[in-house]
Amino acid sequence: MENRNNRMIIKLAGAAGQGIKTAGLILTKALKRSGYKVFGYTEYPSLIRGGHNVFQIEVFNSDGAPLSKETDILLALDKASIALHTKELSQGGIILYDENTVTPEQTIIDELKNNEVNLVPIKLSDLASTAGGNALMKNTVALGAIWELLGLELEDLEPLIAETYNKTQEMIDLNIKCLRGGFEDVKAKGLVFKSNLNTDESVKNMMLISGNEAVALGAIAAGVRLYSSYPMTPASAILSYLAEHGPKHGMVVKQAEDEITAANMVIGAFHAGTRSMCATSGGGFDLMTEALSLSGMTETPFFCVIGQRPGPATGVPTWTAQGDLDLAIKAGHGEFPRIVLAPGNPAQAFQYTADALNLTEKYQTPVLMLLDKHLGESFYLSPQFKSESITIDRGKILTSGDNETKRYAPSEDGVSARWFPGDQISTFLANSDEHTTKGYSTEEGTEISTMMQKRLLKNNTILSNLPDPLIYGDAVDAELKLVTWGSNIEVIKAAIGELEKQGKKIALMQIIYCWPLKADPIVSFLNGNTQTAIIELNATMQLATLIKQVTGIEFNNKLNKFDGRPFYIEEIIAFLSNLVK
Amino acid sequence: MATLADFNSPLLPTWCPGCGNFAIWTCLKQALVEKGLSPMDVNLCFDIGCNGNGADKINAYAFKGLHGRTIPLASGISLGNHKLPVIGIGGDGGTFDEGMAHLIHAIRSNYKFLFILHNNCDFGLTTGQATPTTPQGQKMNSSPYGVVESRLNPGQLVLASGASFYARGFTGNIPQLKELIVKGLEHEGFAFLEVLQHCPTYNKFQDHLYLNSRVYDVKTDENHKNDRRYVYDLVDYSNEKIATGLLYQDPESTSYYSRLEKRKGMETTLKDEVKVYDIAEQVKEFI
Ligand SMILES: Cc1ncc(C[n+]2csc(CCOP(=O)(O)OP(=O)(O)O)c2C)c(N)n1
Ligand code: SF4
Repeated sequence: MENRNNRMIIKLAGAAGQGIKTAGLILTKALKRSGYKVFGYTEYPSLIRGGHNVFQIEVFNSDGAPLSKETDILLALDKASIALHTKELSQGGIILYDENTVTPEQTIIDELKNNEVNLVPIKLSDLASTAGGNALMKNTVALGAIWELLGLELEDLEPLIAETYNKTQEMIDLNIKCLRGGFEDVKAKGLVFKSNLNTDESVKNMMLISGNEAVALGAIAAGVRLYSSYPMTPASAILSYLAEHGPKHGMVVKQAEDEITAANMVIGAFHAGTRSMCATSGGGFDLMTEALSLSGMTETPFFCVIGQRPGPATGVPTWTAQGDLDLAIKAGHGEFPRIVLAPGNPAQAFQYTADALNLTEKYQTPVLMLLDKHLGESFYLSPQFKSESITIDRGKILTSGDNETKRYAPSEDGVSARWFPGDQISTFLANSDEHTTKGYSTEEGTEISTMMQKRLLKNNTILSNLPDPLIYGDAVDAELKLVTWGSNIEVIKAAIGELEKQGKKIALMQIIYCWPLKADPIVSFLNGNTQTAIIELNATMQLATLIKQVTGIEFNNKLNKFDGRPFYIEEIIAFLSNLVK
Repeated sequence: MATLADFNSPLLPTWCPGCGNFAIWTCLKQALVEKGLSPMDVNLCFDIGCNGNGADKINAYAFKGLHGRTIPLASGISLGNHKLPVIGIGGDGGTFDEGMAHLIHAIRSNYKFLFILHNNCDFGLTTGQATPTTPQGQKMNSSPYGVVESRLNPGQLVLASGASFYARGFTGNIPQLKELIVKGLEHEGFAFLEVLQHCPTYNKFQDHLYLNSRVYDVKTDENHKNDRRYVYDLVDYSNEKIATGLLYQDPESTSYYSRLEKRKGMETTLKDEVKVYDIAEQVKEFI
């Protein structure tokens, strides 16, 4: 039994409620601590019990974070898991299943034999009860079994078991016994799964973190003092992480009664002079759009993270998509400046959360950051986040002034200095109505157009100050120039890594600031006769359309899909191989 | 010390002659002066409506937000700086239509600010349509055959929701209304002050004479009880007399902010605390 390339894929599958995610995280983290590059991906339905849950672990040598369709090792905790994943198993792959509760169908056994897949029965339930544990602990037994299958040392896994099941010493001891039971059983059977993956010392000190957790850490580090949100997958984990850890730093975390409340509270908190933010998914964000417009009109900062999932309406709650770019760019009535950005991995999610907070305060206009389920809820390796990498820039804030100081005074860049209620400077009215420089309502024609121009002037200021898109690889001698955004970036990097080994040259541009969109860097990147391609996870090619609108450029090739699944590396490699022959 | 004149805006009110908003406007300024607050010491939050048209007719820090969303806006401001006196102002339309959920949850949360309901029993600014507090059967703009829905009772709604402070004033009694605003500002939690507001233009069914002949101050009633259930019955529409004054106050009320475990003992406000925080402890858990 061995795998055929420089990736190894382990899939843990079972019914919802069988502890698949906990086991998956333990295994992923233990592999990381042993020095393996890993990526953890979850699939689960919008149910609490009864649905099918999967935790997929990619172990790899390349850059990026691959996600494969193929599986090398499948742990099947229930019968459905074998049938559902049979077709994914690679030649020489292996299925471990609970002999006590699962009897595979003969047709499946035959099919697997044809594909040279090994079916390995283990008495997971018996081993758990021999160790004194209950039925749920069979996933700990399975972890021990997989660990021995990979030929790894128990000392590297045991501490994680102890950290995870740390409620009582008894729980720890029981789980360790279960772990050893599984480990010894596989050892006695003499099973090994060989892989040619390298370990790397530097990986051991990296973080294993999801995009949502990264946003939450960014929020804490960058001084968010009030976080207000209403739960909605796939953004809820930001709320739950902050609810636990935010208050340790004095942060106030409010589970609001709806998204309208969350958004208006955030605007209120910024008006009072502190930093605030919220997060939701597309449907919740729809409810915030009137408040978005209020932020634009009153020039009060506002920051919201949108975790995308397939829509329209409730859509497919626990799956992924990039269908809300148009929404973020266009939402809200009236015309006002805004910034829309999209990180592609946790390190960026951390850093750009802090940057977004600076931008909304500097330009006093709303900032929206797009994540998706794939980035928000998958587990990535990342260099350790450092508070030292964060700077706080709150823009023009006055500390003194007199009666004549006007909150909405005109300025060259469109940004007026602000201050806060309670400051002994000068009263003002933050006004939802069109207003004068003091904030008083106006219906006078020239005042209306002057204020509109003042606010829209910020668009130019923003555009000339935003960083360029990121470029990976060398655009000069590339055979293909590829553009993408958001969470696609990591799997594409991994795919390009594989193709580079075959001598193929592909340059990749990641658009981070989607609005306002800087035309020049895109034009100069795509300039020339080289093939161009764009990859995005939606039905209507929203970024491609936007790029065409801003630059006039149309891509020669496009890859998209909208089935709720993120891109698999196999799909990307097939698409790219076709273009660079 | 600030004076009434300090609160004057250069703009003059645009309300109809005889509108009750004049009285609330005056009482608000008087109460702020009495509390020793200057225009730069407070933040007022206005809704959209005739009430909100007062936003630039008073000189103070203020935010005129979205229709029906005054309460979450004011909540955010008062959490952002819990030392800042915050007053929310809204009409019966915005508060009980668009904003209903916010009201009930603000009562549950007990954020520390005063909310003044301008209850004129109609949509003023959009020209006299019915609101939830318009009597059933009343003919209104857009209800030419009479209001079909039953009439909502603000006092009973907030008391049943657990309000820690419920007072009712009347735009025909300025000294009392001023005193109720002062009391509301002093309350440790969400203070709900309902003002029975004249709207001579669109509310013909509950005019000054109607109200004046029915109101009394519970101060003058030695049998009045500071009891939620008692007041619930007292403010029932079936009662001929209309009780006003500080009708109910929970003496043990604690505000949302003061209930936050991890903020206990902290002297600063969220406004003072924007800086880089060290996340090293959190980062360790991901390694
Ligand atoms: C979202 C939204 N819907 C509708 C309106 C239109 N609108 C403005 S004021 C108002 C009603 C005001 O009535 P009320 O809240 O009772 O205040 P009043 O004018 O009586 O003081 C309405 C419906 C609006 N501004 N915003
Ligand atoms: S319509 Fe009614 S509430 Fe509005 S200004 Fe006129 S009298 Fe006052």
